[in-house]
Amino acid sequence: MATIELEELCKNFSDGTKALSNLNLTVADGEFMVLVGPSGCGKTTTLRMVAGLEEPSGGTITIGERVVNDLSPRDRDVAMVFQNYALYPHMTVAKNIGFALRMRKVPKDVIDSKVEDAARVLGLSAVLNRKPGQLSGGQRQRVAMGRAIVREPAVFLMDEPLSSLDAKLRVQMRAEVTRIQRHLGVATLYVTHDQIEAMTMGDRVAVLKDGILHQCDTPDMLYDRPANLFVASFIGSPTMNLYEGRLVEGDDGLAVALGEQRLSVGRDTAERRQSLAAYRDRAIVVGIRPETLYGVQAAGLGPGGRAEEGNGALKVKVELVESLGSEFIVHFRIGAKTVEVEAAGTDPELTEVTVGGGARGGHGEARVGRDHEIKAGDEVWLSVDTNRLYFFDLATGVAIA
Amino acid sequence: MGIAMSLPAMIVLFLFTLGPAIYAFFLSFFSWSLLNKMQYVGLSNFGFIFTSPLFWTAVFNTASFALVVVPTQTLVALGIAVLLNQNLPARGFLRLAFFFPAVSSSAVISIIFMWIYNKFGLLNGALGVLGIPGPNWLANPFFALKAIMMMNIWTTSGYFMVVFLAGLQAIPQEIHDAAWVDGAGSWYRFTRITVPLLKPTTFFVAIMGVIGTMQMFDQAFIISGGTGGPLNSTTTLVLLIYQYIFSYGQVGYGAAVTVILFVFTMAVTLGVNKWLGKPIEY
Amino acid sequence: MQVPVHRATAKVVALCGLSLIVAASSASARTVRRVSGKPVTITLSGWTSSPVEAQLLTKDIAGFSKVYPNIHVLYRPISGSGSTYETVLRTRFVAGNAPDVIYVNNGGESSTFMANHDLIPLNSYIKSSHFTIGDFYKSSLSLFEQGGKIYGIPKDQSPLALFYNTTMFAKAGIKHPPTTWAQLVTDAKLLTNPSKHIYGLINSVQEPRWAQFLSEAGGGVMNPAMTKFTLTSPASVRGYTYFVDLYKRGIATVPTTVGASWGGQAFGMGNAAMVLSGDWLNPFLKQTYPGIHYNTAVLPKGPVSNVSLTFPVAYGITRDSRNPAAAWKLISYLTNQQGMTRWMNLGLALPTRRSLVGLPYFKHHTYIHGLLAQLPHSLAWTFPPGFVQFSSTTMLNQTTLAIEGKESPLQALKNMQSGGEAILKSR
Repeated sequence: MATIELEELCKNFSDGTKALSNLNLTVADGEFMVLVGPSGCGKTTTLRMVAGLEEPSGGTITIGERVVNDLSPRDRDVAMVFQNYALYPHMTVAKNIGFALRMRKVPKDVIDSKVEDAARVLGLSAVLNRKPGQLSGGQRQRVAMGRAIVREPAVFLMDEPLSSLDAKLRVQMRAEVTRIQRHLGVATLYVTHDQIEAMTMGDRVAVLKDGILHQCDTPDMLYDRPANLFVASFIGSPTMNLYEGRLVEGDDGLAVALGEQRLSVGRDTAERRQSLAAYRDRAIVVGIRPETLYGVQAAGLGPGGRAEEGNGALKVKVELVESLGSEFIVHFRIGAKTVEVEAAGTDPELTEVTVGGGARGGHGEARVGRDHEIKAGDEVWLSVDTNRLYFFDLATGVAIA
Repeated sequence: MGIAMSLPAMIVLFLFTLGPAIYAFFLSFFSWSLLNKMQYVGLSNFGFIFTSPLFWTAVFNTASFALVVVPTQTLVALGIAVLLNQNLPARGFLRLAFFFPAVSSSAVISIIFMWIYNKFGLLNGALGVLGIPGPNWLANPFFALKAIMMMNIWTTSGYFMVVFLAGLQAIPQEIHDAAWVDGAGSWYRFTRITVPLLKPTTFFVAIMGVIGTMQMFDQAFIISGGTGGPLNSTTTLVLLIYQYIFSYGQVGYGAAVTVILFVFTMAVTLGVNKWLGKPIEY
Repeated sequence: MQVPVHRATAKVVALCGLSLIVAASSASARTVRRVSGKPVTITLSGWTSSPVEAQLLTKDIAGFSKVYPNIHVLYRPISGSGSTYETVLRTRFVAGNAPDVIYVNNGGESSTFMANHDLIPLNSYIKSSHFTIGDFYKSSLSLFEQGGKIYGIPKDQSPLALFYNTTMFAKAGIKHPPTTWAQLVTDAKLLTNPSKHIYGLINSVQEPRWAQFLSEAGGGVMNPAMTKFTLTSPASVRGYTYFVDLYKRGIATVPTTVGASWGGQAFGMGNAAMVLSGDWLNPFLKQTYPGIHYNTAVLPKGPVSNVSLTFPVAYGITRDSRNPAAAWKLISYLTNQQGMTRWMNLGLALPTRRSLVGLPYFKHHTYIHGLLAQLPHSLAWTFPPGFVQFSSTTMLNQTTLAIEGKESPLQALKNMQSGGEAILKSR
């Protein structure tokens, strides 16, 4: 039982690449912290440095009360679950799980009872005498977890343990892993590239790109208040729609001009985002989550119908409708310029963006209920919940607070 | 059509491998000096061989040669492979240096070693520096075969080192990491993880080593000048076969020993297979 | 259509294989054809004691081609030490492409070839070409004769004589080389200095270096007819024990003691005051150790005589030669009076023709005199067929055990006697 503290942690490789730059992160005792980001963002490197498998180029790692920079992995009291499980192929499941205990010269009967307990928790009691080669993917993953659990370590480290499983099993195991971690109450550092895993499993999530920490917050906060364009576009599926717009003064307060259309900025939003006022008459980035585009009205019925508080509408041309069974994902074309996130660079406060769309206009996605009749080629109005618009500085990509 | 396509290869295989082997079995029942006419003698060649003290000397020499050389060269090759699997500075050069003897002509190496083993040669010179009086390696029946053993280990370890390197690199690094995190020190990791996972490689090295040592001929021939001496101490089974055919003029004896050698080698191979042969499933 | 093709092809393959086996095992499938008048090619094979010998023989053969422009000689020497020559030769016989003219060696090779009828008798050629055969030493010729037929013409020989280092002798104050066994012991004792790695006599203990001691004591390895072994006769025991004692006393030793591979090399290196060797040592010393001052002398006399061994080599014509007449012309060219004289003047060996011992070449090179003087008192070294391994290895091993004290000389002789008798019986 311990906390993990990373201070100014850096890693440079011999060819000059900066894998990690000045990471500051704290994982509380019993907390499930997820490190998420695209490949090459430094999450696995961070995990391996905490495990002691790689040496940091700078900064300190503290587990519990001890600075562990100079300790070898075996002295750090960490247990690690690897992406490909790293089970010992020539040992039985029981021997795999009990490996670390055997090394610490724990008495045999103690080892046996601990192994049996772990096996029961993970549902592996029936396969204790098989070799890993004879197990299914899911069983192997649980053996890897068992090997970590039985050590009763101060810290769990997990390196994309679910990425080798098929989709259905992955969903099942997500719940399992979370349940076990809660039950054991051990500080856990969990690496994944899948933002859904991050959102569903983490107490807090740290979003990394190119070695920089962009935001570390609870999943809800990441969703509601992304710190910059990168986080906003990384979290949420389908990705948030981002358009270049102009903040203008409208009849009822601020409004956003998207191409030739206008969306009024809800009063709640205007109140919450004080700095928005400073951007009057300037170009900004507007973010609209697909799940806030709903309620379709056939074109030709005029804008919006009733201009209620928080309801705007956008006219779009439908290109493709994907049916998920529970809802539609509508791909559309809109007469506004889209904004795409480029390389994040070394500064989370400076996200390079490209503005695109061309003559045909930008594109976007909406999540719409199945009860709407809609097909490709239609021109429709989509309702927008204007209280849930996101605004970002066009130059820096930082969210407008 | 398929048979026709593989016919050239089958003919070559038959002519150069299977054919001579079958012919050797056939010859073991005949008495022939290469110059006279062949005479059928049934099993009497085998009878002579089994009661010939020289044959049992050759068996003893070959067996002791194999028993010493195979474990030693396996361990040496494994040790060097482990050392050179790490990120040492001159790694590429060192690997080349260790492998080099394996691709050199064994005849040339034998001749060079004859000079090293000379009573007044390099080896005794080096031992003299340490204050040890070196023996007359090649003329002393106690030391001659051991001299060849050392030379053989030096020559073949490099080849098996490369095989072990391949085997070591086939073990996923993750397993080493997992063991390290789990608390295993270098030695524990080596003995409980690396060595068991190297079993298929070790099996290959052991089998090839056994087959090679049981057929050792050219080094014994060159170092003893073809005599198998001193005092028959370097007479290996294959050298004996050569002598029976070309010095004694008894092709039948040579063929009989060939058959016996085949049976020995087969038996040992099966034995090693039982001990080391199971594959590892990852 | 796969099955019929499979069966037919398998039959073809089996037939091919079977015919190969049959062809290889019947080596005597050829017929001899006599060719005359048309241009012919014959092959000559032998070993080369040094590259010089190959060069000199090539020159000699070039002269032959001038005299007989119709006969083209292919000289194909077989290189390699020890018994490689006979080994390669045997494989050529089996393969059916043996050379026409070959060197026939002493030491049992001639008896083996003759026993297997691998050489053709030369009597008719000798007669028809008026070849002077009476000039040859009886001892040399007898090696290549069987049942009244001559199968080889001895081309050269060398006896075993005593080579001694004149510098060492002078330093030790010894005026002349030993002429009796007793003198050999005293001289060797004087000259031996183990701390300087110098020994009175250095020779390997192979049989062709001690067989003559048995004869000098009145005994011998085998009886003259070579029907039984006489190693355990009292005379033989006496001779053998004398030889072994030299080593046990430390005044004689084996070449490897001083880091040499044979006695001649040890002599050249300056570690041996004396060595028993033949004419082949002279070109070796000239080439490799020119700084050694030495001379030759006849062997020291034993209880009965100072008889030595001699090692003649002959040219023979193989049984499958397609041009035996042309082959005979080559042999005659190389071994008649003029031919042998040419060969002797190259200084590689001594003559097998009595009339040539007085050649100017020999008069001029004084260090050969000892060898020449020994020539009339020497026995040609030979064995019956089947003794190559016995003579080269078994007898060497037994004597090694004897000089190391692991066996008494008598025991070694007894072992060799029973071993030799066993081989005789099995033939």
